[in-house]
Amino acid sequence: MGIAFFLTLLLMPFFGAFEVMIPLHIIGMITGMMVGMALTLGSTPTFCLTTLGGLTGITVAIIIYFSNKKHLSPMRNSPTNPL
Amino acid sequence: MKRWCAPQTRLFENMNGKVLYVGAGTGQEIVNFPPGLNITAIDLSLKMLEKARPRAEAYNGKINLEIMDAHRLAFPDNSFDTVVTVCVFCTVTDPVHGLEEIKRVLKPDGKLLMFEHVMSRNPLYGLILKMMSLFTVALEGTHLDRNTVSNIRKAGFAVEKEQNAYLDIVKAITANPN
Repeated sequence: MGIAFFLTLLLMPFFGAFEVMIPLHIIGMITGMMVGMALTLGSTPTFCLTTLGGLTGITVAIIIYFSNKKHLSPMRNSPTNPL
Repeated sequence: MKRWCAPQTRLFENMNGKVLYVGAGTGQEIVNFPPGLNITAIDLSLKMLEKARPRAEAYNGKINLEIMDAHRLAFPDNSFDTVVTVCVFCTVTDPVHGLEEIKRVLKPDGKLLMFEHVMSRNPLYGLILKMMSLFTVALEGTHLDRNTVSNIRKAGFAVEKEQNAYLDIVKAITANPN
């Protein structure tokens, strides 16, 4: 989470505050949890942890991309839609 | 403001008549305003207005810059046809009172156009916004977890349209004072 916070501050000027904050913090929470669990199981190769983090990052980015597309759709933006 | 150029330009197409631009800041959004309008731009900070001045002077229309508090607008009732705000009501101390002031100076058939970031209804995004808000409030007074659409209704506006610009966090909102 600390790394996610630091990366947020670093990348915000280039990609936008919310576009960076939301995905990075979700990635930070999930990856941090999984790495913590992996470490308690015993020594885990750094390569495996890095791959885990990378796959989590890609998955979260894809989910948020499609979630954003759904929020931008005309149905979501209808004047009578309470959302 | 290139990132938000398209949704802001669409929102600002609804600007007409005499316009009040609340919280002008450095005037980054002026480049997205339609031309030929008569705009009064206010901000609490003289330094911000000084930075906005070159953009205001480059605008193809008329922009008057004034120092003013959004909670105490020095205009008579029913003065403006349109009021515009961009990322202001995350920082205003009392947002509902500020919106009530806007309602007072807006004509009965006027429009409120707001481009704001708001609290998300998604619990995970909402949790992140609440966490980050602790830092942003302390550092610069910006709330990331305000329910601005609800505040607009509390101030007596009817929300005509909500257009999402990023997830359900960044929104273009159109409201009227009826």
